[in-house]
Amino acid sequence: MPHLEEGQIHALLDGELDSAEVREIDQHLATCEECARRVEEARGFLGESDQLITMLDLPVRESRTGAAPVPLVRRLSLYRRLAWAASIILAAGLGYYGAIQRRGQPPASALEDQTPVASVPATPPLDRESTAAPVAASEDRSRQEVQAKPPKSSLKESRPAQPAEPAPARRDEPAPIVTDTLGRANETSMDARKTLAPPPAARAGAVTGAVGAPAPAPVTGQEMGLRGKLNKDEGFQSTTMEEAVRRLSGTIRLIDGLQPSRVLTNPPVAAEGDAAAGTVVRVVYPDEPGREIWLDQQRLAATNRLGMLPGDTLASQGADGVATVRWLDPAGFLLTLTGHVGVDSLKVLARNVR
Amino acid sequence: MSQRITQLYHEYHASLVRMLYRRTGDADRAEDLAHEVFARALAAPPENPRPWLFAVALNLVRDDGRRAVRQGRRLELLRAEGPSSSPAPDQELERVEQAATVREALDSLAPRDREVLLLKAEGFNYDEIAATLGLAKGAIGTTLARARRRLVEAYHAREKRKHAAS
Repeated sequence: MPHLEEGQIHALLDGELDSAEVREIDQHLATCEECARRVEEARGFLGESDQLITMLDLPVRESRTGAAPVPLVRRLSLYRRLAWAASIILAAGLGYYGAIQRRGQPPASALEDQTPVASVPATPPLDRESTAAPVAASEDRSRQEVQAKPPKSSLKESRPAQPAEPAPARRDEPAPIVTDTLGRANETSMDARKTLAPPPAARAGAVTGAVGAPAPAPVTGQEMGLRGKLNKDEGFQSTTMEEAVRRLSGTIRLIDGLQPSRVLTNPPVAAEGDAAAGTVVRVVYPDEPGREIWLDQQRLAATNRLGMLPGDTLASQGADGVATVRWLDPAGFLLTLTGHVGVDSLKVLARNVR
Repeated sequence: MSQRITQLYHEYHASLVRMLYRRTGDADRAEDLAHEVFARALAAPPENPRPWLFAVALNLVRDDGRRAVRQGRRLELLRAEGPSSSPAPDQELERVEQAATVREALDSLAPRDREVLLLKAEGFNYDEIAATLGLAKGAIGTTLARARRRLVEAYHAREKRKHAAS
């Protein structure tokens, strides 16, 4: 038998050869030191390359509760899996739904469990900042910090300016998510998330529209995320997570490690060629009682991304203490975090949006 | 039909996302690309799902990569950001650096070699790799041999340069 070829050696090591071939090779290896050495060398390459490939995997994080570690990618994808399964069911059972959506007419079933909105103005009341956007987004940028990637500054460095005496919590506006805990040196984003942890009663399974919960001012299309203030409850409707996922075409972004308290969405908007592009979903996270953090998301059409490229991050801090961080993710989702906190604290949260 | 797709999803989603993450280094992109793969499977259910799903995924990565090149530095910076926001103690930093070196080494391979390696790492046998990539089964062993050797050599070359520079 001639010397073994390299491909033959790897096929042998991969168990791809039949028993007759293996027998023949074994007999050859018993008498050929050169081939035996090459087999060992190939075994080394195989083992090491496999090891290198696994080094690319996401790290496993230790659970804070002491439960078995869960690969991050699996944890992150859990909700998306559920969301995807839900989208399949919806796609199969409600085939007509998409056509109706494209015409901007929500089927009655979609609104059955939604809280009626008392007053939805045809044109949302835009504050000074929102009227500047989106076509004049560049003007906003002159007042906003433009970064090439999501923020990485430490919390110590980024400690937001807090008033000496915190203002009393108001039910209709979010409050600082970062209090004295974030003020300490050397905190990490994990610590920030711990600070932001919702009450134990908050569970993902209970994420539905809450009757009577404050609904934000209507934000349509590209206006989403350009607001610098948290206005009164108007415009958005409570919805379920599943419905929100469906309206975003089967995916949704969430803040890793936090449990949403409710989900809102704008009324269906007729959008040219892409119903999801007109949909704005707001995932609301609880902070201190009566205070919230909002994560707005909207999939932008590839041709209309406000001049942003994936990785661009715009951050602004209003004089009223309301901060906004907005960025475009690689999948074309315009994401906006809004809260009554320091802008750098929002940046920390932004890093945990998956 | 939806039941079958759901079954495929449960069966292959984790593996697909893992391979896509290994290939792209971006957890969000991996998830989004996997989602796109299953969306396409829903639209046109494949006869032979496993090779089909992974072939579509690899094609999407290639297309995604071409877009990334056009978009330039911003996506590079995003990749540098890394998938984890966990604290970065020394060990974590070392892990991240090593992973970056492995990724560089993997990226230096020919696309076919890289894809064969990634599919093998997902437990594909030679028949499945051949079906996924449209190669002859007889060529898989040789391709794998070359890919493994080159990956290891490229990794060590980079490690050596890194140590020499430091």
